[in-house]
Parts: sequence; structure tokens; C-alpha cells
Amino acid sequence: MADVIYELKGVSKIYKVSETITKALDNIDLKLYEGEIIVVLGPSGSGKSTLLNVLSGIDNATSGKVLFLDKQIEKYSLDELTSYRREYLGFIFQTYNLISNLDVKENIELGMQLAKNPININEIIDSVELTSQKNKFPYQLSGGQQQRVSIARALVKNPKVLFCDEPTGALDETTGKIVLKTIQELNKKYKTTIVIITHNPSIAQMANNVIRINSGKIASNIRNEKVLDASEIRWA
Amino acid sequence: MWLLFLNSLKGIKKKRLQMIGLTFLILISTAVYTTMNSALDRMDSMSEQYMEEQNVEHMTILLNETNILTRENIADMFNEKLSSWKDIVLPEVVVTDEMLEKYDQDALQEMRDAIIESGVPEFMVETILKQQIGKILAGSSYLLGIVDGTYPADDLNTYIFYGCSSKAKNESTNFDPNLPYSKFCPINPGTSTSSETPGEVPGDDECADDSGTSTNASTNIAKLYENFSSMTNNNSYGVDKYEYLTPIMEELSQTYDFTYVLKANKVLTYSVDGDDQNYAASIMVYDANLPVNTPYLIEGKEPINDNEITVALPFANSNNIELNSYFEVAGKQYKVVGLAYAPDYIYPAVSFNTPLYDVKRHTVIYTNQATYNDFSGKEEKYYAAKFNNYDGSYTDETLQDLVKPVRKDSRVLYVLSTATISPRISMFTEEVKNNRVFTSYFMYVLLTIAIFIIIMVMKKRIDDERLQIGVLKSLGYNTYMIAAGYLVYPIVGSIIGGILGYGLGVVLQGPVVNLYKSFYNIPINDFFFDAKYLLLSLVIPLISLSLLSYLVALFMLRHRPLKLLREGSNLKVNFMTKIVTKLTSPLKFKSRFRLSLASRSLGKLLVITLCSFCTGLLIVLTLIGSTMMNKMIDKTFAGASYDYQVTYSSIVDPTIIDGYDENHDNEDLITTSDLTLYQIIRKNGTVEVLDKTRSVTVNGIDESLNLLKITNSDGDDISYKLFEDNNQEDVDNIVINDTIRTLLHVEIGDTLILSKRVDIDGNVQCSNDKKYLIVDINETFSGLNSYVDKGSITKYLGYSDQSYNMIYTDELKPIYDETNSNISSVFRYDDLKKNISIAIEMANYSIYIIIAFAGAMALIIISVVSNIVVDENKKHISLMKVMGYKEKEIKSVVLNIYTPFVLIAYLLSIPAMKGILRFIISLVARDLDFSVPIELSLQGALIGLIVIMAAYFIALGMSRRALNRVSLAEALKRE
Repeated sequence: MADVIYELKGVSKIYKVSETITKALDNIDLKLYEGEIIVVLGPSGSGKSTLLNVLSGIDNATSGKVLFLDKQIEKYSLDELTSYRREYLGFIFQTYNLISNLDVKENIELGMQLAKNPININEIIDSVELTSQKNKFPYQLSGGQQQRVSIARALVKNPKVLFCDEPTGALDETTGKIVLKTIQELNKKYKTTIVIITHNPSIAQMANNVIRINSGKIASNIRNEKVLDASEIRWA
Repeated sequence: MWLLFLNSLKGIKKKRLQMIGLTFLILISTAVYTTMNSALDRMDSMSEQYMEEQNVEHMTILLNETNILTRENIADMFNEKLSSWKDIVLPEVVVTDEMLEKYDQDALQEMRDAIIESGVPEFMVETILKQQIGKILAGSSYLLGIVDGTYPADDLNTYIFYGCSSKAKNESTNFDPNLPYSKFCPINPGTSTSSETPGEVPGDDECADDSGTSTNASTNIAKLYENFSSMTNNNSYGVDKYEYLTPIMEELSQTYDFTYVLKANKVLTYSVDGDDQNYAASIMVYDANLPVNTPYLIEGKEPINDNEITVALPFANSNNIELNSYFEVAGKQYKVVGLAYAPDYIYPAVSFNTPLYDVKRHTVIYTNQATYNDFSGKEEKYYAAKFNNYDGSYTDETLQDLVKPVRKDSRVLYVLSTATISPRISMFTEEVKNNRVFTSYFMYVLLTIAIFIIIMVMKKRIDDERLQIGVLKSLGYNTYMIAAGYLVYPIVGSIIGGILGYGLGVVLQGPVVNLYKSFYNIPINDFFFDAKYLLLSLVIPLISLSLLSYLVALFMLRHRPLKLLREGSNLKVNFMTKIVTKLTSPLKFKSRFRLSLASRSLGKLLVITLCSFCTGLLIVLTLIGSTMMNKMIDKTFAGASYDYQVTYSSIVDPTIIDGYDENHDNEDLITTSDLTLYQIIRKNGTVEVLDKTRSVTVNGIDESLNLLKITNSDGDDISYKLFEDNNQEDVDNIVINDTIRTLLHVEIGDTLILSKRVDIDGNVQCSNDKKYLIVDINETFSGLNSYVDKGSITKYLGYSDQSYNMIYTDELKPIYDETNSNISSVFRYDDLKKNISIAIEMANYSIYIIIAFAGAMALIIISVVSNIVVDENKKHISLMKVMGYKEKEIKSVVLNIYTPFVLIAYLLSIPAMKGILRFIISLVARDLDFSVPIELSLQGALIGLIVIMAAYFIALGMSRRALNRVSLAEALKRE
């Protein structure tokens, strides 16, 4: 078994807006292992985005412990959280979040600037099969290509963990599978832990660990015996 | 549509910084508009009425005396006095044989024959002859100061013409008394003025012969009076030329339908205990019935009794003078019985030594005739006239049409027209006119910047709401209805900014008027409410901004719904970004990122760059202006050791003045004359005939100077160059000033062709040409001034080489008393420096205010734009925060994107403003023979840079808060 990269102990996240109290996460206990693909499934409002925020340091837990490589990140200051994200994490978003006036190579450079020992940029561009598009602007690319740029940008700094927030949410099946395949190959190549937040249950077929979350609680936490290749996924 | 508008209104809170900036711009523009126009209305509303009621002159006229005064007039003037002078016993003149040799021998023989006929023995004839001549010379001719007599004593008239050409002397026995004096006695050489007559080579017959010691009638009369008065200690022997000039004025007034007065005033400069600067006053006789320039009594009563005076109100306030108290003027106490203005001294420049009005030290004093006579001070007299049937404004160009024929009349030497040139009046009228224009333009500039801000805000909102807009269009809302929703910005900004701006303007107009009161002696109205400005403060910005915003919104909303709804429709990059990406590829990532963000929105880039450029122009203009006057004074008097410049009424020739014993050690004696420049020979040999001749002042100097310094732009003494051999025959050397160089585009190596030239009744009279080779440029800026070897000019004019008519000295000796009629003027350098220092001090305050204002405007505009930049890049900022970029790193790439553009814009504004000023000065120089140095020191440039960059970085600092507030969750939002 691989090493534990994340451990959550009794983690809760409560939002208070006027008189309304919302428990986005309710006493979560969880372990995530290094080098695996973890899929977090749940409907809208289930708390999966909040879980991503807490794990990635974008938001603080109200109570409980969040351990990353045995360090309690819930006690980190804002600067420490920034350094944590800079050094260890990569992000992919549903809406790609590319800088529209930077070309492909420059968008990836945006991520490269943060790394002490980045992966060679041309290598990463080759990995996502965008060599011939490296001088194009985002508006000249398809959705799938844009997402692959986003993946390259996230991975160029060789992060320990890659968080993917609905990476195929804006894509059709074919393109979605291509993106997932890319993620899978990069996981194998660079041993990056991948955490995918999604409402699409099909993606769970390629995961090592599938966590279902509902109303802020862990509904189930299953380890897949068989991990499918992204191209073999039966799309829901 | 109303709902869309309401929706926008609710959303204003999110755009509060932009709205504050926009409202502030409108507030400033309307405040300045209201302040200046209200203040100017208060001044202007009474000024025309005041000038009309006080019969302010339309023009000042100097008559062409030498053309008007006939020889009989001159003779009459003298005869009245000379007959009594003959009886005065004066020291006898001892006549020597050498002196007799100078006389006409035939005339002398006639005298001998007459003496013999009277029965005197032959051996006594020579003695008696010499006694008679001695007596004659001790009489009128001695008074002339000229020993060189020619004719028998009976013909007293002939002595008047001593100093005229030998031609005149020869013809004096056969003279025609009705001919103008000038026909036989050319006026002081080179008193020609610039004319429209194209330069041409004069024919020989048009030239009078070289006259040598010619002087004009007025000067002769003045000199006679002075010499006789000083010898007899009696002031009552003055002659009055106006007795002969006034009939001419009467004829002119009939011809051109105007009323006139002979105006007299005395200019008195005096010191006051405890003040290192002199006071100056222009003293006049109070006459409430004067048909032109009637005095205006503000408070108190007329000065009827002896030693009663009135002073100007600002002077009284500054010196704490109360009515009926006593005030000391030049060591004597006078009772101040009233406060009064001289209507032709609206800007009271009382003396040319102190041309800038000093409210504490300068005033017009009215008094009665007897007290006026007792006052010392140099008296000036001239005719002031007002057209009878002209009802128009004093600033109207049609007034010039009335003045033109008067100016062209051959009996008139010079007309100073109130409307355009008389600084005491036109400075006020021009300032009012120009300030109104400036205020309007200022408002338009600010509103233009406001429109840019509105466009930026609208564009951002339209980009953010493109999906909603697409949906609205799909539902059936048309573009006009949707665009109306965006009018909330100009409407809210205009209403709030306009009302507040008007209120601020009303408050500020009071201090502005008080400031004007310290500059101008004119009654000013109390504040009166004028609804016009409230209305205009609302209507102008409301209509202009709303209309333009609406049109721009219509353009921005032109796309079809499908295009707006399409995902990524906002991602397309413009051509500028593509170019920038290509060009900046060799640069580091951070620089490339910054430049690509900057190029993304050309509108914002344009606003920031233009704002920086305009702010730079204003700052550079202010800094150049602040040093301009200082530099002019410094360069004009660079290294000069003299304190006074004494100008004589006529040439002083020590070789022909009997008993001349004046000591001028350690002084510089100059021979100065105005000559006409009509041709230039360029370095390459091309001869250029000027389309307009120019009057150039030529100053002849000695090789070694004691006090005067003639330097070039590097500060090096260049006077020695005048005495170097240029290896050209009949060509002497000349050093010209900067004004000549600028105006005529001449340079070292060109040759100027000058001549003495007089136009009388259209007849050109002139003497031979004089060629001068330009050997260097002296950095002075007033008038067309030049320097030559004294010997060359005295020889050309026919004077002895020891002659002079100007002295530079550091000691004001009694012989330099301005009341000495042989002295035309005494310029006090120290007084001028101190006078200008006051103006410079005041100017420095306004400079700080202007620079601070420019910086504040830049700050507001850049703050608004950078805030919009943050807003626009919220998602990118959030992304970078999520990725792990530190706030400092994000700030440096998102906020500092315009730094190079701001820097470049400011640097470009320096040569741009210099170019604009040079162009304006070249236009001014053409008409006024005046140029100024246009220089910006390194220190000045750095000050401007600091102001602009400080405004820029403070603005960025203010936007940093907005940047810090962008949440990480923004990046995770799904559209």
C-alpha cells in the first residue's frame, strides 16, 4: 500500500450566512494514498467542492484535522497555505481558466514559474499532444485542447497532488475520455496523486479509490479492484 | 427598460470606486467652470460700464513733431524766451583765433565791416568782434552748448539750428519758415520703425547727407531749457511745444471724430524706511470733468486743497491707510482724503523699472495742480483720445478699424491702441477673455476623460453580462432598450457631480475674485446668483456624457444573440496582442505577461497613456514657465555689474561741449541707435530681401567694458569678437541677440544690411548702407538688440568716436537725475529684479498648486483605470492565488502593466511641450519682437517624473486593496 498523503480526522466545515447555518462537511474521516487516482463523487451541494477547498487549502476547516504528509495544514497561515499550494499542488478547473491573451506555451509557463524544478516545458507539451498548437491562443483551441493545456500547466511544476474540479464537465464523451486518458497517463508517468471531483459516476471506473459524499458526509469509500483504462470507460 | 435601468442603479455599489472617480471628474470640471465664470462675470459685468462711464481712452497718440513743427514754430517758441534771455548776464565766452577760424569768413567780414562803420578804430576791430561774438555765444548759442557758431548775432533763429546739417547752416539765411524742421534737420538717425515697405536698395537722391550732429527740435528745446534753467536757477523759462501741437490734435479730432486730452503724469520712485524695495507712484491732477480717463472716486472726497491726495484702494488696504490720515510720500506727509482709481490704469504698471504691479508698493496718486507741480519725478505727457461715435466693446476688433486711419496719418508718429496693446487696460480685458476660453476647454478635457471612464466601465459590464444580454435579445429586447440601462453611470455622475460642482464653484469664486482684486484696479460687483451656471453644470455633462455613452453602448451591444451566447465569445484576442506576443518573445515571462495584459484593452491603454501625456504636458509647461522669467533676467543681466542704465535724450559729444568735465571712470559709455534692417546676405552668398523691414537697436561699445557683459549661451564673454578683423572690406562685426536670431532665422556668418531710414509722407529718406557680419549670438530676449564696435557706429552716424547716449553705471550720480531733461530715462536694474522677484514668488505658489492638481488628476484617473483592470482580471488573479502565486507577484504582473507606457508618455511630453512653446513663441516673436528661453532643467524633468510616477504608484497602491479582496473561490466558479 502506498503512503498516506492526506488524512482527515473529524473535519467539519460550517458556513453561517445571516441566520442560516450550513454544514458543508460533517465530521469527515478520510485517508488518501500517494500516487493514486481518487474520485470524489456526489450530487450538487453534496460538499465535494468544499472537500476540495479544504484539502487544497483554499478554505479552512471549521474543526478537525487536515494532515498533508503528516503536517497539519488547517493551522497554516495564509502565506503558508500559498506556499503549500505552490510547492505541492496543481489544479484543473471545469472552465479551464486559461489566460486568453497568452498562447499555449505561455499558459503553461505560468505554472512553470512557480516550480523550483519544473518538468521540461516541451516534454510536457508533447505529453498532452499539443506540440503543433503551442503558439496558438486559447480561443483557437477546442474545449478538449484547452483542458489539456490546463493539465500541462498544472503538471509542469511536477506537483505531488493534482486536483481536478469537474475536468470533463464542459466536454463531450469523446473529448472527455481523451482528457481523462491524459490524466491517467500522466499519473502513471509522474506518479502524481490525482483527486477528481465530479458528479459523473463513469469516471469512478478509472479510479483507485472512489469516495461518495452526500450532505457533507462520506456515504461510501470504496477501493476499486479493477481500474479501467480511460478509453474503456462506459460513459453515463 | 425601466427595470434594466433600475438593475444598473442597484449595481452601482459594486462599481463605487469608478463612480466616485467619474463623479469627481465631473465635479471638478463644473466647479472650475462655475468658479471662473462667476468670478469673471463679477468683474466683467461692471468693467464695460465702468470703462464707458469713466471714458477710458481708446488710444494714446504721439504726434510726429518734427513733421508738424515748422521752423517758424520753433523760432516762435524760442523768440518768446530768447528775447529775455538776451538780457541775462552770463559768464562771458572768450573767443580765440582758433574759434574764429571755424566761422563763415564772409559773415565775419560783414561783422567787421559793420564794426568799422560804427567808428571803432581798426586796431580794436578784432577785439570788439571777439567780444560781440563772445556775447552772442554767451547768450543763446552758449545755451545750446555748442561753441561752433556761424552767423551774426541778430539772426537768433539761426542758432536754433545749431546742430543741424551744414546744409541747414548754409541755407539758414534763406530759409522758408513754413517748411518742416525735419527737412533740414533730420531727426535722430534711425528712429525709423518697422514698416511694410519691402526692403529695397535706396537711390542716392533719396538719401540725406551724413548730418553728423543732427538733433531734433524737441531735444534742442529741452536742452536749451535745461541749460538755461540750471544756470539761472529758474524753472520758469520752459517752452511749451504743446501750444503748437494741440492745434494739430484739434484738426485730427475733427477728421477722425474723437475727443482728446493732453495727459500729464509724473512717475516718482521713492524709498520707505524698513523696506528694501522702492515704492513707485504715478501722480496726476484730479479733474472730475476730464472728457477722457475721468478719475473714479471710490470713497472720500476729491483732493481740492494743497497736500491732499487720493490713493488706490488696494494700496490703502495693504498699507493700512485710513481716510483722512496722513501718508508719507518721498519724505513728505500728505493727507489721504479719498480712494480713487485711474480708469486707464486697470493694471497699474506705474513705472517701466517695475513693470509688474506690486499692490503694496505701487499706486496712482491724484492731487491738485499746485501739489502736482511740487512733486518731483519724471513727467510724461501724451494725448489720450476716445472716439465719439463708437459704442462697441474695448476688446472688439472693429475698434482697430477706427484706429488704422489715425495711425497712417502723416501727422501721427505712433498710436497705442487700448484694445490690443496698452498693457494697463488690455491685460485685464485679455485675461477675462482668455480665462473664459481656458475654462471652457478645461471642462471639455475633463468631460472627455470622464467619457473614457464611462466607456471602460460599460465595456467591462457588457463583457461580464454578455450571456444575459444574449438572453435578453433572444427574448425580444432590442439594443436601444438594453443600452438605456447603461445610462445610469453618466446620469448619476452628472447629477451628483454637477450639483456639488456648482456649489463648490460658488464657494470658490469669492477667493478668486479677491485674487483678481489684488491685480486689477477696477470696481467689482458683489456675488449674484445666476441660475445659468447651475443649469449648465447639470445640463452640459448630463447631455454630452449621456449621448456619447448611449452611442457607444449601442455600438458595443451590436452583436447578435447567438454570438453573445456562444461560449468563449469573449476570449478572442485583438491584433495588438498578437503583435505584442510576437515582438516580446525574447523577453522574460513576467515582462511578456505584463505587456500582453496591457495590450489586451487598447482603450484603457490609451486613457492611461493620454492621461500621463497630458499631465506631463501640464507639469512641463508649469516648470518651463517658472524658470522662464528667471532665465530671461539671468541671461539678460548675466554677470552684469551695473545697477543703472541711463539713456540720454540726444547724443552727447564731449569734443564739442565747452567745459565738459564729467567723470565716467568705471562706467560704460554706449552709442545706441535704431537702424533699419532690410536685407540679409546669407553665408552661402544668397541675398535675401525682407518682406517686412525691422528696426534693430545697434549698441556701440568700447573694447574694454567695465560693467556690461556680453555673453553667449555658454556664459562666455564674446565682446572681443567685435574688434577682430573679419578680412572683409567695409564690413564690421556685430553680435545679435536671440530674438533677432529666432525671428529672422539668421546665424553666425550671415551679414545684415542696415541703414538709417525715415519714411515721411511716403518719402523714403535714408543714408548709406552699413554691413555687419554676425560673429556671435548674445542670449537676451527683449527687442531686436545688437552690439557693434563703437567706432563703427559713431563714424557711420557722423559723430565723434567719443560720443555716447547711454551709460551703464553702478552709481546714481546727481547728473543722472531723471528730471534732467537731457536724460530720457534711468533704468534701475535692482528695482526690476526685486519687482520680478515678487511675481516669481507668487508664481511659485501657483506652480506648486498646478503641479499638485495635475498629480491629483492623474491619481484619480489611474486609480479608476487600475481598479477596472483588477475587476477585469478577477478570474486570473484568483487563478494565480490558487496556483500559489504570492500577492506581491500577482500585483507586479497585473497592476504594474502600464508602467512603461506612463514613463514613455511623460518623456514624450517634454519635447512635445517644448515644441508647442517654440511654435507659439515664434508666432509671438513675429509681432512683438520678443522671444523667451524654452528650457527645462534636469532637476525640473525629474520633479515632473517624480510627480507622475508617484501618482501612478499611489493609484496602484489604492487598487491593491481591491486585488487583495479577490477570493480564491472566484477561480472555481462555474459560468
